[in-house]
Parts: sequence; structure tokens; C-alpha cells
Amino acid sequence: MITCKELAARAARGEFEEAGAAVRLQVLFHLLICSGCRRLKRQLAAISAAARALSEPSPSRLAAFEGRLLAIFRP
Amino acid sequence: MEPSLADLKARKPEALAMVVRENAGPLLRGAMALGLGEGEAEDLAQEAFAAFLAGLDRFEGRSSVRTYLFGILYRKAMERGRLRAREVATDPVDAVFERRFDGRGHWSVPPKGPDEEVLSEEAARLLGECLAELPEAQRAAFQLKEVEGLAQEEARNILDVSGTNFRVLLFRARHRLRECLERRWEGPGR
Repeated sequence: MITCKELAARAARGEFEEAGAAVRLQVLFHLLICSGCRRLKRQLAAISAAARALSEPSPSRLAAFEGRLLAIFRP
Repeated sequence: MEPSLADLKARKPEALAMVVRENAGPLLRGAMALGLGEGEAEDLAQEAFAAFLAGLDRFEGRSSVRTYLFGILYRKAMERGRLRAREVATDPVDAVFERRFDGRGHWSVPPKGPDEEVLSEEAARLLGECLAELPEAQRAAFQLKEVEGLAQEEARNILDVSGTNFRVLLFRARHRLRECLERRWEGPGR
């Protein structure tokens, strides 16, 4: 049986992404019975989603940067 | 979408324009994630594109154009002293993580702080502050994996670190961000 500590460590290391069906099932079962790990999982996912949104440059800035690059790429 | 290797090598304008359109945003985000100011981030990303163009004859298409460009970007950042990809042996977050659990591996201090609310304006602001405090190598690993969505193998090749080292970087980045957010969210004044 996977422990909370093991789940928290392995999830953060991204180890479950390539895990087989048996391990994924263990994780699912653990999440069903553990509110702390469910919260952790939601937080890690939300942090990633928010980081993606935060790192997006504004459309006008991106357009200006693309223009700069196209100028140096022009033969 | 990527242009064909032949079109790239022939430096066809439409192929080069496609490289710019598809990769300007990701590379700019990657440079900003190193903690550079706007101008410096643009300069670094532009340098990476210019180096890609200058060395196009050496590009063999073994990786995607984006991976190749990120490799150039981070090498240039390392040359500028803006990135040290190797992780130190110990990090304070390791001890913080250990203290969260009892001897049987169960939560002794379960996680608090926002989850779905991280997407709220206030939590996003706090997260921005936490991201800025991440050590550069952890931030680069987090950026490549979570923001750019690269596979671990691809991301670790760009940073030129082992798989183990990359997983340590990710572990520390994610737990540092979570701990930092919880501390600020649950802190005085709330």
C-alpha cells in the first residue's frame, strides 16, 4: 500500500506519468480514501495551470517580438 | 507544426517564418522564467533564434526545433551566468517535506492553502511571487515540464542533467511552490 509520503514525493517527481496500470490503480485507491493527498493533487495541478497562465506574454508584446525576429530571419 | 528539414536547410522564408510563429512565445516565456527583465529576456530569446539560424547547417532534426531552440537558449543563459542547471545536494524544502509526515508516512501536517482558488487573481499574484523566489534550476525544470509541457526526457536533455537530477529539481520546485503558496495564503491578515 502506497503511503501519503510516497505519493507526495513520487507525484512531485512526475513518476506516475509513466507508471503502469497497477501503480496507477494504487494511486487512485489511495486518493479515494485520503483527503490530504487529494488536496495535494489538486493544488499541484492548479499551481501548474496558474503558472501557465502567468507566464503568457501579452499578445501585443508577443507580436512585437515576432516582428523583431522575422526581421532578422529575412534573407 | 514544424517545417520540413529540407525547407529549413534551404532557409525558405516561409519555413523560417513558421519557426518564429511557433516558437517565439515559448522561448520568450522560457527566458522570462529565468527571472530576466522584459528587455533582457527578449534579447536572450533573440540571440537563441539568431544562433539557430547561424548554425542551421548543423541541425539534423534529431530533436524538434523547439527542443533545439530551448537547448540554445539555456546554454546562452548558462554562459551569461543566469542558469546553473545542476542541483545542490540538499535544499531546505527537503526537511520541510519530511516534517509533513509521521513515522508511518501519513500526513502529520496535511496540506492547507488554496487549490482551485489558485486560479483566482489574488492567489495567482502570490504564486507569481513564489515563482520568482524559486532557484533558477528548479524554475527552469518546472517551466519546461509544466508550462511548456515537454516530456521529462526532452526537458532533462535541454538542461543537460540526469533523469534523477531532473526529478529532484521537479520535486523541489513543486513542493517549494506549494509550501510558499500555503504560507502566504494562510499567513497573517487572512
